[in-house]
Amino acid sequence: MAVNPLPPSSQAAFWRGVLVSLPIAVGIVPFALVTGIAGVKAGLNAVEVTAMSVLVFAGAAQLVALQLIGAGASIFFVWLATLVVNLRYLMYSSALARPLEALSSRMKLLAAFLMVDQNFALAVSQYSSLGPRITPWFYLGIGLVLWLVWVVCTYLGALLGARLPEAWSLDFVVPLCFLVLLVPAVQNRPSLFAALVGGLVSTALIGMPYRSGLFIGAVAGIWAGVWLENRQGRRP
Amino acid sequence: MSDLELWITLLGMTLIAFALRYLPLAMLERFSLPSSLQQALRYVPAATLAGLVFPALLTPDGQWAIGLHNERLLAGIIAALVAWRFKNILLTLGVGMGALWLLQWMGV
Repeated sequence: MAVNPLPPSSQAAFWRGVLVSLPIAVGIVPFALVTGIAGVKAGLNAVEVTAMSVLVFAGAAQLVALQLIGAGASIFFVWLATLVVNLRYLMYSSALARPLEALSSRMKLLAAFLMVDQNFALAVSQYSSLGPRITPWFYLGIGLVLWLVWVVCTYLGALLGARLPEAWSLDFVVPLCFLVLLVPAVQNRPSLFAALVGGLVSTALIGMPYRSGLFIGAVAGIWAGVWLENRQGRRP
Repeated sequence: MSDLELWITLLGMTLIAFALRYLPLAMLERFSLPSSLQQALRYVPAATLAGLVFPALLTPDGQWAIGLHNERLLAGIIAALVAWRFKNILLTLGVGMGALWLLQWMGV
């Protein structure tokens, strides 16, 4: 996405972020609706699932947690799933440390709370042209819009959820949402190998209680990616 | 799950999600992650997301189902091609759901 000319002030940068985020926000609408529907299916009411979106603001983790809650998993397993599915934020947060350096410690709390795949990707890719003073506000503008859309559409999904017929197979939107995130995450042979091993091990272990196969699959996939990268690296 | 348990679950999830996002951002000015950990973290999205996608496509009813009779696998492959070619969220969701409905209607 081209962002030019250079916004002159932090306020202008914030609104530039808001503008850039609008088409992306349209894309997360179905994801949020499905999260609201999944919440109702898992036995939560509209307020509870909306509170989850307000506080956690992490789509993949919320959907997995709702599946687990619906299956009667213990609190510990729901937390473990949240940890595993959100591990990628450690990587995002490390990469954002420099672009967001100029923020005060209080604003860094807000910046961390609003961190998602989309504003991470845009802030890191635009940092070289926007610079250290402007990038944080651009990032915050995107994050705030996405959070608002996420919360409102989760609530709408929860209201709508009870009325949608089973025959529409709307639960299939959930793996499709993950697929949309998975495809750009596969960038080279090691990450393709990580996806194949992670996906197949998780599938083979699908019968294990509380989706624990997901954790084992993730570890196996990460190991596979690292192994192939190191093997390629050793070749002259 | 009781109301109290649910709210404890939500608060724990909130803290976990926030800590993962906040700690490196706040602390990396003083020290950085070891390079082996950084390397492993690069493969987290591909491995985890595949773990969420593959079972939904390969075992729609809890059993392996590889073949033309599995509508969700076929629709998923079509959606993956659209996602890869056009990099568009709404188009991918639309084509994926449309393919599933069409295949179910045809009774493949």
